Order: sequence, then C-alpha cells, then structure tokens
Amino acid sequence: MVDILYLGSLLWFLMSIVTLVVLTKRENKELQEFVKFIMERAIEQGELLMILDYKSSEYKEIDNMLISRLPEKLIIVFHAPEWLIAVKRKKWAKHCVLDANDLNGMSNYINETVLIKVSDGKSRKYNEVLPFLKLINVEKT
Amino acid sequence: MTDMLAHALNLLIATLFFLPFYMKLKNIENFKVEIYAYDVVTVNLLPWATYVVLIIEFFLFFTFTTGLAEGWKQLLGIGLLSLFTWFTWKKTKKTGKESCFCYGEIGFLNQFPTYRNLILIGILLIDLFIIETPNNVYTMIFSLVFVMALSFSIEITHLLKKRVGPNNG
Repeated sequence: MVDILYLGSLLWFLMSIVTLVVLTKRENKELQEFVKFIMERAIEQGELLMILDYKSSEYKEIDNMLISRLPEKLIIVFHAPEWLIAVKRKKWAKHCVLDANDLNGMSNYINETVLIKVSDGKSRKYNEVLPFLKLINVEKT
Repeated sequence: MTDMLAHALNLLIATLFFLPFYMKLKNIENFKVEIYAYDVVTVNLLPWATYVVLIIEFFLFFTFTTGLAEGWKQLLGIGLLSLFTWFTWKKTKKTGKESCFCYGEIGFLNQFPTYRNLILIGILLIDLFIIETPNNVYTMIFSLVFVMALSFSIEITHLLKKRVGPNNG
C-alpha cells in the first residue's frame, strides 16, 4: 500500500517536471516570437521593450520618467488612443513609440504594463515597471 | 489520526513556501526589482536580500516537509510573513494598489496578499501547538517528492488556464 503511494507520487513528480519543461519552453518561444515581431517593426534597436497601457495606475509616473532622465532608450508598445500616441511620440523623443493598434492583434499577446529585457537573444519579463526604471536610473548614475 | 492530519497540514504549508521559492528562482532578476519596489533596502544590499529570502523560503519548505526544526520553523515562518505583510502594507499605502508577485505569475495566490499572509500566520500558529515527531527517512523523501509534484502541478494548471482564457489568469 505504502509502496504504491510512493511510486505513484514519484511518477507524478516526473510527469509534472516533463510537462512543465514542455510548457515553459513553449511560453519562452512565444515570448521570443513576440519580441522578434516588435523589434522588426521598431525603427531603432534597443534591449528594453516596454508594453505600456495608458490606463495603468502607474502611467502618470512612467510618463514623467520617459519625458525626463532615462539613461537607456526604450522601445514602447503603447496601448492608447491615436491622438495620445501622437502627442507622446513627440514628448518621448528619445524613445521609439509603436502604436499597439498597428500590430495586427499581435499586441494582444501581452496587454498589461510590463518590461521585457532582451540580452544575448534571451527575453526576461519584469512586472514592476516603475521600480525597474528607477533602478536603472540609480545604477547608471 | 492527529499525526496524519498534522503531517497533511505541514505538507500544505511546505507547498506554500516551495511555490514562491521556486517561482522567484525562475526569474531572480525580476524578484530583485520587486524587493527594490518595497523601498526597504539600498541598491547595494539588493542581491543579499534576494538570496536571504530565497534561503529562508527553501529552509521552510525543507523543514516543513521533513518535520525537522519543530517550533523554530513556525517562528521563522511567522517572522518572515509578518515582515512581508508589513512591507506590503507600507507599499500599498504609498502606491495605492494592493498586489504582489510573491507567487510569480500565479495570479490567484497574489491577490489580497495581506489577508493571505494573515491566514497563513494563523495556520502556522495552530501548527505551533501540534506536537509532532520527526519523520523517518522514507517518509521524508516521499514528502519532498509529493510537495514538489504538487507545486509543479499548480503551476501547470495555471499555465494551461492562461492558454484557454488570458483574462482568467
């Protein structure tokens, strides 16, 4: 009885690891494809990609940071009405702003505000956008 | 019977410490930024703080599954959770939004972190008063495998759910 339990959980453990590896690989591949798709559409290249929604609670502060002092250039996929995108394109002159509506549904892959750092062909997602921007500011100065 | 129940309770607690440990380990750079977001450590101490939290969470997972360090582990767990709850409370007061990524992308465990932590502290307090005997090696290995399998399965369920409907995660 105990042996069956033991073997069963061992089998469960192995199966869950295999499933997890397969799923994680698939997730990474999709993120990679998404990043590639965006990068191909950006005029300039950079290693920081930001998905930004103007309805995000942090939008105002992020906006402030984009206007002023950021040591790095960002590629921004902006979810907002057209007129706002036009205005911000001028204000965030240092960065490359892409209209999320122009990306044929591909932009729906991620619609929360996140930051993706691309280095050595690998993409890493960061959920806390504002602290991330503050941190690169501190580290570079 | 009480022994069985106590052991089940310990495995549940262990899972709730293994999941965040493992999710943080998966994206450790993101976790560093999260700690920075709490505004409680300076930049040069960030890597240290990151590893200390990870080591404590691993220690709690290990001791709760194996039945070792009885008494100490509950106190350490309560201490860690109280600290987190305090930090979260401070951050919520400052930013106005109450959420965390303590459980990585597993959304339902990230909502209402204050209540979740208080419930967990309650469970740990109950556990503190249940007297247990350490497990034998056979049970220890079985429990470790069981807790990890359960945690991985929770993540798998989350990943599959996200695929079906991106708005439900």
